[in-house]
Amino acid sequence: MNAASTARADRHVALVKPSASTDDKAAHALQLLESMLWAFQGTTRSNWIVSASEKEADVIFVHTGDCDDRVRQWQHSRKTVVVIETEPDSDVVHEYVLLYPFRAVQVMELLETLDIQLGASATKIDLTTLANPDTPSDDPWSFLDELRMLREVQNGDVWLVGKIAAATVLWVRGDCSEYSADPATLQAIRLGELRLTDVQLQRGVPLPAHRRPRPAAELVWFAGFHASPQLAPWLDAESHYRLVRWPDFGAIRPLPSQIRATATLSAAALTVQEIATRAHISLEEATRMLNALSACRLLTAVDSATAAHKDIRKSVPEPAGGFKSFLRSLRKRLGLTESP
Amino acid sequence: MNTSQQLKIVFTGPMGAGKTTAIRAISDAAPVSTEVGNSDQAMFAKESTTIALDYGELTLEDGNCVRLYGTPGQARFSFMWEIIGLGALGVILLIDGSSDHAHLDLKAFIEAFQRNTPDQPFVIGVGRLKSNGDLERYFSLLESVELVAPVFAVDVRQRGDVLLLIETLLCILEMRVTEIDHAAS
Repeated sequence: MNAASTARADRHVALVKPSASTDDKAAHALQLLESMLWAFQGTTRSNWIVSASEKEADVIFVHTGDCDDRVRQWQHSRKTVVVIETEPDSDVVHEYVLLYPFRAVQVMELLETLDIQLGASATKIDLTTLANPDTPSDDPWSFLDELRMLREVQNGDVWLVGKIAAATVLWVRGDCSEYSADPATLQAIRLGELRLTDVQLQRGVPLPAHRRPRPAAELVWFAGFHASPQLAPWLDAESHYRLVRWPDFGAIRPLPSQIRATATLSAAALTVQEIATRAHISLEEATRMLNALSACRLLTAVDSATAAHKDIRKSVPEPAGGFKSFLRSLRKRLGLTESP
Repeated sequence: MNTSQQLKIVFTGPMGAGKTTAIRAISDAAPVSTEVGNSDQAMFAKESTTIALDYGELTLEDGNCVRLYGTPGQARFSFMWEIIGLGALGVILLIDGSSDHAHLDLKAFIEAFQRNTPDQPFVIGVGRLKSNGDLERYFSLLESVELVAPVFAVDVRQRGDVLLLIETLLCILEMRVTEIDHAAS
């Protein structure tokens, strides 16, 4: 048994037996769910154990026809309730609804979402108010951590508002896929002039219709880039990092030095110091770039540096004056910043 | 004309993705286009389309000349994509994000250009995205073919967006050369 499997948490789940008055589909749905839970054993992040008692359970599945006062009691005792709906045209309103017939992948996704939520509540992270509104954090990574948590929880149905004191400064979708702010705030976020650690995310009203949502990867990028001149606590100065995806620079509008730094990581796996050297940027800028790229989950750590590409100079005609001089001339011709 | 002996950047992508517009944004002179009336209005509603090539150029002060080629977008001209791609500094691949088969277009163009030049540098610009999360499917496709290439949301009617694509291509070229020189030293 490996370390990952020994570290799995146990999650207890109760399947409320349908009452006699509910239709056959309710019983079929619960049987199907129980079979899937059995089949998923060992494949999910946590162990999902069917419990005979609702009292012991972390999560309770109940058919919509059996929803009564017990649901409120369960929720009051901080249990997560999933309503199973067997009528396709139903308009049941509940935080978690599983519509029968359901596919295994749907159930697995639901379990993983519930698992993250259970883990989040165990560490006292609550979507209602992600941070204490009275005490802005001194931790430079606190806002980014909140965005990362949203990304894990994947609750795209809600919008959170970001407030400084009583003023709303931005909106973030609950799965951290989109955000919105007025142009002045957007500019302040880009320039690092808005102290994002002062922003308190709270559950709010939906995004006003006149506000255009933007990709939240942009917000994560700037939150990561401006958080600190020090390397993020989850990164290591001695490790080699390689780019696995490019950021959407169409949205981010980077400086030329930032494109260069990203290009270095697409050409080889490098340490932060090596990025600074190869891209001709300061160590602080290289550090901030690594922070931003890792915040957007665009990096992977690898064992050592490797040059992965063939020499482009061998496959294109030799320019007059040499390749590097040619690229400099081309930059100049297009009015682009000259590379150092 | 043997285009493999020229310094060139290739603009490619399906019909209506903005290749002609992108070349026009940076070429020294108005690009030479071989456009005809579009007989495929059902597929894409534009008045004219490129049937052979768009051609523009950039003359540099060091005497070098960079040719800018825009390929025809229709799949029946895919044999030309491979020929034009040979010896290119890189490929700017423009995708129409509003198309239902945009990700298939991406795959087809990458496969065609990689056939003769597996290590071809690509920079991908996607226009008319349907939603903010839409780039994800392009990244997923690139990962499935193990290609790490830039994919940016762009509007090639904006010269700045075209320059962003070119700048990124130049940075990739510079950093590849730097890395190889470093490894050799």
